[in-house]
Amino acid sequence: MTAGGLAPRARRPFPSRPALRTSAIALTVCSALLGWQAVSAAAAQRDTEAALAAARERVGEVLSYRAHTLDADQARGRRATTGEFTREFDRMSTTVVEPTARAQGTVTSATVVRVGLINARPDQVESLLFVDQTTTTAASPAPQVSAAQLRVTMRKVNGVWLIAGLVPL
Amino acid sequence: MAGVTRPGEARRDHVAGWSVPLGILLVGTALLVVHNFSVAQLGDRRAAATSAAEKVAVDISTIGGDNAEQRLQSLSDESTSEFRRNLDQNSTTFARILREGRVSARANVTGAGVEHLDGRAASVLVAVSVMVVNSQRPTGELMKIRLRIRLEDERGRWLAAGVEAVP
Repeated sequence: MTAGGLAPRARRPFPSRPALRTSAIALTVCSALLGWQAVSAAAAQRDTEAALAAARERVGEVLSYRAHTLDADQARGRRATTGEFTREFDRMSTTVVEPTARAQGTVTSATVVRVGLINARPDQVESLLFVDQTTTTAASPAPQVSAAQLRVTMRKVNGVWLIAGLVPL
Repeated sequence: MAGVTRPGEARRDHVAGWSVPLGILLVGTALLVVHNFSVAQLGDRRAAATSAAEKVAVDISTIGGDNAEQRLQSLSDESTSEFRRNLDQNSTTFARILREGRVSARANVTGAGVEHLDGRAASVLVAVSVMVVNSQRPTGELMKIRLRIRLEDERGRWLAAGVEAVP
């Protein structure tokens, strides 16, 4: 009993335990969501970089060939492509590249000198490539260098970035 | 008496026990918000850098004896102080050469892509198709040029810091 005859009221700690628990849960959920978002963004960034690296490598494969190893070179180039572009690659190979290369003894080597990102989506990346192509023929053995700028679409197929489009600009 | 906790001490223990984990969670959440916001801005920054580089490419390629000063002034207005000095030093001579050669060039940007982007700087590749008319080619000649444009971010504006032709 107190002097006034009333029992002492138990002082509840402030902030109360349920309020703190709720805050902790809310913050944990927010952190988890934001963390997941950050991890996804980092993965997307890595994916874009992988697509650009693949564009650099695969465009070189598609545009380089030698008359005396043409079949193997075209098979390698074909493996670097996907979708409708594979059919376009086949058509260009049989109607333009093959007859010309065999007739002229063409050896051509493409080097990507610069790569820029146009836009990126989860499974498709568009890029701008500056390419130098060095060509010799039996009649003209001195290397001729030509500069090209290409818009290249890369598509991820079964985890591998392949060329889905290539447009000279 | 040993083993008895006074109400004041219990309250202190209660607050101290929660404040550390809550503080860590709060700071962690705030850092993630800032990080994710900057990542979300990346697409917009890339688009703004591309747009600025395209404008620089047009200003520097759509030029002739009759509009050289205006074009170079427009480029100068969108340049860093160092690049502006460089432009200003050469603009009069450049304009005179264009006038004397009756040069007129009209550019069309055919593609642009960001090569590098960080918090302060960017480099953008721009493919340009230019129709050049001069005293030796009065009917004009179509040229394809490749540019690499360096930009710097000054208070949210992308300014030209350098232009190089990629041979």
